[in-house]
Amino acid sequence: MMNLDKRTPIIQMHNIVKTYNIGKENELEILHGIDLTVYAGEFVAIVGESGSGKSTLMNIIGVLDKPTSGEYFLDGVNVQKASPDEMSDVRNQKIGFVFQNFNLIGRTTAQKNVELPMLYAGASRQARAKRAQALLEMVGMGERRNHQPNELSGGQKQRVAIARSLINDPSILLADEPTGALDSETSRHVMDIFHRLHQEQGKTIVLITHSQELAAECPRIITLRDGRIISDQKGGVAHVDF
Amino acid sequence: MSIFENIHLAFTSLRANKLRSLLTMLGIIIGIGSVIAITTVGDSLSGSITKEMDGFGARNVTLTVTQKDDPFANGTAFDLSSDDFNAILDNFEYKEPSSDDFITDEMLNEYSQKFKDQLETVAVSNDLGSISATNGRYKAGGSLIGCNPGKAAIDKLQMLSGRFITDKDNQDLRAIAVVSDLFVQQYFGGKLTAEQALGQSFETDLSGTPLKFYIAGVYQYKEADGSVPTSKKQDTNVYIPIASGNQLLQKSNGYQTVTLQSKSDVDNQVFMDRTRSFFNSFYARNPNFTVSVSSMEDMMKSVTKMTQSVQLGISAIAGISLLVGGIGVMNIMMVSVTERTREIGIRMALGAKSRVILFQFIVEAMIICMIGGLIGVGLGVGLGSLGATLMHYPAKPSMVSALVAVLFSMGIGVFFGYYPAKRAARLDPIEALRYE
Repeated sequence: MMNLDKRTPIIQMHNIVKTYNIGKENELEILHGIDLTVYAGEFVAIVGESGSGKSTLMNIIGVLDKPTSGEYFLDGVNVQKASPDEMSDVRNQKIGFVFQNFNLIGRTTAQKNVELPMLYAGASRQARAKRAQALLEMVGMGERRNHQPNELSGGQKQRVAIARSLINDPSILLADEPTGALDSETSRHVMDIFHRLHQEQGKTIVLITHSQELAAECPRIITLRDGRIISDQKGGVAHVDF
Repeated sequence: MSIFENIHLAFTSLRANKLRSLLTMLGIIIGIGSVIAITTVGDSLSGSITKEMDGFGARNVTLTVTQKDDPFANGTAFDLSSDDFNAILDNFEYKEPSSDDFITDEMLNEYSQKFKDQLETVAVSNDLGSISATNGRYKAGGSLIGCNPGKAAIDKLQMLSGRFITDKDNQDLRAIAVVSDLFVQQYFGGKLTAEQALGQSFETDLSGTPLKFYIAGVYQYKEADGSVPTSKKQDTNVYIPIASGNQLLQKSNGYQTVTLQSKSDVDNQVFMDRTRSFFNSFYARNPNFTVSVSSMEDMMKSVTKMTQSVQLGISAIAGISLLVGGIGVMNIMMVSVTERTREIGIRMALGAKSRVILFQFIVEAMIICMIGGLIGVGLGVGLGSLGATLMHYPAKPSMVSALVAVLFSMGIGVFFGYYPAKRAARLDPIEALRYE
């Protein structure tokens, strides 16, 4: 384990607690003290049944929400102390989101969707277009960059979303059930893209899923139950034909 | 994120909802359109009235023998509610002024003496009716006007040849006339110049009485800058000595109306007040009549005031339409924010700060209103110009009010877009992302 500690930690969570409706009758503690460290270049699956607290954990990891107590450092930034604007910047710069239902903006071309985080980062039009086109090429969507989301299939939409998640070269990719809305064949394609990003480009990926099968192909599997981590184990190394 | 990106984004979103955007703009279009149409018509109207009155001579002061209890002359008619107004009209009995009531030459002489350092011109005239003169196959027409020498200045006549009516013409009751070059051209079939027409005579009649005049002067005919184009432009004035005219028609001497012109360095208002008190002293013991003193300047002011208050009234109604339009914009923006909750969530998750979202929606509302304002200005200028043209006034759309209108509608956008935009900016990204 010593050699792992020498690597750069991207996510450092210590005793994270999340409680909803504090002080009210329906006060509810969802996470009961999560300790989690994810290092640069890891591909981690967080797996759990629905109600296990994985959505809450994903919101905290994704800096969409703050823990009630505990410490969370993301790539050196103390999220607990960040203002809403600083949280926006952290999401923009350090996190690449991939959602179950793609969350592309309608009536906007694939390329414009991919450019969006870079737009909010203040990049120039030319720089955005160049990078967005390169990323769309990489996920095999180069020819469809001027298509709007309603003209794309589920798998194509998710590939656009992956391109978007990469545009600001974030510290981690945070994928929330990325294959949940796809058939098994397209799911396979999407998972292959993640494996490729991990293996070829050394991306740090956190995959949140309820599927044991999907988690099994990730190198590290963290299992969540009732707001606690019940296991943290090595997974299989996926065999991918590129 | 630059302002241009925001504007581009707003246009993208408006294009995505064309019909809804147009319906939202409708209130603004109608409001701005009606304000611009009204101001265009109003400006054209008061512009040409002012021009016309300047042509008449705005500083001309008119003395009129009026009944002392005439509610329109003494102003009481304008201060009362309609019931009182009708009562006053019912009580008012019109009386014909007799020769004893007219302004006399003695009064005018005394007046001219007393005010000689302030007075430029005193003009008296009687409109005797229209005449036509036939010379073989040539024919000329005109209005026969009996007048004194002062009339030339009041009517701004440019003499081409000969002279105008003199005091001596009046004393001797001469049968001379001053006609226009147009009259000469028509009567002599273009064969005589203004110079050659002098000393020539022409014959005509006035209600059966045969008349013969010798041409003593020819003035240059000017087309009136009148607002309403007259169908008979060939009718010009034929000036004759007023005393001759009165004698011909067996009219008594004395004048019901007199036109004065003060020297240009005299304060017209003070001049009018003094003139009023001068003539009032003559009429103090007259039981029925007095002399009212008015000027075109006064009338112009009241006409301008009237058009302005009509404009203001209609603008107030248009303002209500703008308010309703603004609320419409707010309503649609609220719907839009709700509809696009998920989009807002996505944008926030991808790193859009609250103020970026706020700005996006404000810019969107502002652009809806700006486009509405522009369409409204176009529509208003079009309708206003059409209205002015139909009323035979030269259309005079105001660039300033167009600019103010567009800026004002953008202001409405910001004002009514702020609250919905604030709602959008305050959304919790987690909730917004979960919104179906």
